[in-house]
Amino acid sequence: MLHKIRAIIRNEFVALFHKPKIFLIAVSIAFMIDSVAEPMKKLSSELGYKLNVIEPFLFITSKGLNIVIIPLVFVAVLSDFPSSVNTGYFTMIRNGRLSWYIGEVLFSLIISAAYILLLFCSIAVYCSGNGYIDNYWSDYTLKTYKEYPDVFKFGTMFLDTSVYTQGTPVYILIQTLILLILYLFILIQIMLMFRLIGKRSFGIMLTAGITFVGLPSYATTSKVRWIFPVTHIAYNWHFNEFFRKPYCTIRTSYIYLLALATIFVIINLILVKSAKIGANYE
Amino acid sequence: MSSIISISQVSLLIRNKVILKDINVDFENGKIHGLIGRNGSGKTMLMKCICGFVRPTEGTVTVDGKNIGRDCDFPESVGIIIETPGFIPYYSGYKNLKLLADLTKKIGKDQVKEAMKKVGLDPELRLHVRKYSLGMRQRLGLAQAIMEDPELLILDEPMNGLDKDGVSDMRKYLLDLKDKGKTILIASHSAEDIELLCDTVHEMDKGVLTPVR
Repeated sequence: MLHKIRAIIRNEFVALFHKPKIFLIAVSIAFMIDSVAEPMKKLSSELGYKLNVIEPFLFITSKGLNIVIIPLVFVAVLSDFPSSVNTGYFTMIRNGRLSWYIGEVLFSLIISAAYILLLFCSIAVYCSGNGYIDNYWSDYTLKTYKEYPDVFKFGTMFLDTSVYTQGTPVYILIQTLILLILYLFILIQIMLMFRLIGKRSFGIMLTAGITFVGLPSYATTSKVRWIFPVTHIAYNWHFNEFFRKPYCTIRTSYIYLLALATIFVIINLILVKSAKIGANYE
Repeated sequence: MSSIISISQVSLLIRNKVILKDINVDFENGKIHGLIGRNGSGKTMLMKCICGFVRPTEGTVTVDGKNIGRDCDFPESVGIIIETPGFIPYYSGYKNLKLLADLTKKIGKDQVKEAMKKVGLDPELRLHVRKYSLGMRQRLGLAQAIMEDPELLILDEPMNGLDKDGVSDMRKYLLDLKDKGKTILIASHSAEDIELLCDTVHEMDKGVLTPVR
């Protein structure tokens, strides 16, 4: 069974790497570097500080409009996931539905993690020319405001206090990576669910929709915002600006996202048993 | 002679549209069975039900004594061509078949190459499948269907895209398989193919199957 699951994962990756849409990832990385990493790197260099290379990524994942790009690009690149559902009769008949499903779920997990790690590594590597990686915040983040009070007039390329007052860089990075991966995994499971019931387009619209609709809620203080999974993915949104008292604990977010992921995995497991493979009735 | 495929009271509805209506038919072992009918009449959907890709709304499909969907997801010893053969377009024909053969581990590379040669394809050809002509893809589809020497072949329009020689080769090959005791279910638009190849013929019209011969 293992070799069958491995084949499903490999085929999905082969299909993915041959899609022109894969360049969207490169474009999004270029956008993040151009709009965040480069200005932070340049400003820190001009001020004579070294940048912790983790900080630009945490900057992106702490701002609503930046963080939304990550899931939206992911949904766009994987919009025809799973690629084998309509063309893979030959694979499917040799694999069986269960092996196929396990392969697709594992692929979902791997691609979610790979995508997030690629984003982080690309940004970190880009900033490494004027940076370091360690578990303490840079002087750029902690001292600039104190030493150059007017610097904010020239831009806002600084981490919010709600980020660097809540933990060490590595700790917050790890939490952010895991929360993001879980969120992407949920999105891909929703897409798979709608693919299995023959409503692929609706699945894509829904995943993009819940990301967009949930996004503005982070700016409110209403507890209703925690219904939206996207609100759980930014570490700093869990906390008050200065105090460590959380609006919602990180543990609650993990439980919520894990519960959602588990529910969708179970629903899809039930659906896959009776799914119409290759029935293009959308 | 015993039946390898037994279809009992099978109906299929998709979005309240009747695709298959109360189909009852047995296909005997060791024969070539033909399915004819217009586009959209339900031939391919019936084949998908037999293969286990689509579960009927009502009724049962039994292949080689196993109820599809209850005893197994898909029939065990079956070779298929359904709709346009789906291969990984960025790999050669041989690599595609080898990847498929590795899933079941029933055969090795020699049998894969042999199957390709039987349908007139060169296993050493490095050309990616995306650059294959329709006829070459169809031949590759057939090689995929026969390479593991299945007892049952389900072929949906296998002559599509083949030139005159290709059609002639394919007919000869299917008759050879029948002589070896294999069962073949074939859907075709070509009256000549059906006439020359098939022992029994059924016509599908608006989801209703009726025997013709």
